[in-house]
Amino acid sequence: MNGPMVGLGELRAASQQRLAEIENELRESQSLADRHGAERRKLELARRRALDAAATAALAGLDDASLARAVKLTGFTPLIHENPRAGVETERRRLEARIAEIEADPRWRDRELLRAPRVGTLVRQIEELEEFRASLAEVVARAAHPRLERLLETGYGSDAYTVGWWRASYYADWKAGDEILEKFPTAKSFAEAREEILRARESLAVYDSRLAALRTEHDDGVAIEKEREAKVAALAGLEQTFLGEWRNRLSDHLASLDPAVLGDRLAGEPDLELLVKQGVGLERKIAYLDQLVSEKLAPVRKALVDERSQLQRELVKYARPKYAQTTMPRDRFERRFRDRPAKLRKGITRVTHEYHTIHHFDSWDRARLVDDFLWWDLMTDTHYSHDDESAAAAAAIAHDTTPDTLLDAS
Amino acid sequence: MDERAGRAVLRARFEAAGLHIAEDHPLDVDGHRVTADGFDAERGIGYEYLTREAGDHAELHPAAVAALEAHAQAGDLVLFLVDEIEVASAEELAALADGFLDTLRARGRLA
Repeated sequence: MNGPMVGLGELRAASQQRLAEIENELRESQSLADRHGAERRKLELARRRALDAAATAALAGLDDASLARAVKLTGFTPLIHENPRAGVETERRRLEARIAEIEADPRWRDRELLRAPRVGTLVRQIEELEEFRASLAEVVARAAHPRLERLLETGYGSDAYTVGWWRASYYADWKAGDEILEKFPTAKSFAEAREEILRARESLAVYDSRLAALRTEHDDGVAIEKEREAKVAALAGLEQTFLGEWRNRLSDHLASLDPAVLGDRLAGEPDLELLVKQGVGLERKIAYLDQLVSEKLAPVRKALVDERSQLQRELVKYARPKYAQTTMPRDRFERRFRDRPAKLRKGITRVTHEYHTIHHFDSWDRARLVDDFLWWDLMTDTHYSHDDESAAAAAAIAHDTTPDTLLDAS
Repeated sequence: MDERAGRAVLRARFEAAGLHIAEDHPLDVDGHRVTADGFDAERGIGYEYLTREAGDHAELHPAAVAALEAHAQAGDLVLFLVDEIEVASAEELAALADGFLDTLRARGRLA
């Protein structure tokens, strides 16, 4: 082969240096991809806010004049056909009826008498029963023993107890009975303690049942008070609630609309028009940034990863004695270790630059709501000198894609 | 406690009370074949530590237990019956055995 050659030493050194460069470029491009996720969420939120603000500006209220204006500006005809005012009135009647029903309910009408803190009749009854219950619960708690239930079931301490003295359980029962009896100093025998325990248990069950009923009655009353409060609050904010719901629907309508449809309608409403432009522009911005990351940055990253694998394989190969005399033509070496890396580097730089250019764009007033408006041109402030590039860009943008010629990293 | 450990505790307590224990002693209790874990044939006193591991519950079926209880009631053959589920430790088993041996003394069956 003719021409100058590069020896193994230089080849290995260049490979090592290139590997280090690749690691840096992978880190840099990964950083951009990582940031994109967070930026995307912020942009989605900003787009939603812009559209919500546009809906608020377009629909000032639910009166006839406001509805007519909103339909004229946005073409959202459900504002006429579905009669929002009738919806408000239906809900108002429903709320008023329920509030009247609650206010006639003794649980609400007698709320002070029943549930006033410390003095309400229900409150007093519950407190008194809790006091009575406490002494009984203390007896039951005092009797607690792992063997108590068995002693009660077998009739320990009474004639009903039939466990033979040759059984171990007879002695275990005896021990447990003595331990329980120690906690009832006034009882002369386990039989007396058992009577006291059983009486306390029965009374406790009665009190607990009554307490549960009183607490349910109390809680039902509290619930109905809360329901009335909620209904009264809903009634007070009824107009705003419905207005908010209709604005949400209008915001969704604006998001789904072809921007060109709004262009003429919003001609005399510069503030509203700006908000719509912002909403539409943010949607385009998100799409462009997604494309830059997924369709332009990803292939560059794949090329870097592939190159890294190849270099690693080659370095292993060069370490073997049989490749000690390996050489490479100088021109091929230059293409491999100078030209191609430079092109990949340029691709990353270009994607990064365009990502930041588009991301920082906020001159929404410079947009127009017309067919085939070139958002890409506006956001990148692109001027083409080459006719082919310009045509490719225009065609791509018209189809809502990022022009490949702008971002070609190969 | 497993079969071996339970039997060891019982044997120690019964022998400490002066009984001469033979292990795995065969008994014919009104036609029921029962092998006592420990038994003093001269005094007619012994013990059975019932474990699932040894299959004791199959051997001591209700009819055999009823026969044993009848003899214990009569006082001519007394087997101390301990189910493994009744005891959690060697100390507890020893205390139960001592209670039984005290009862035998109170009834004049032991010095």
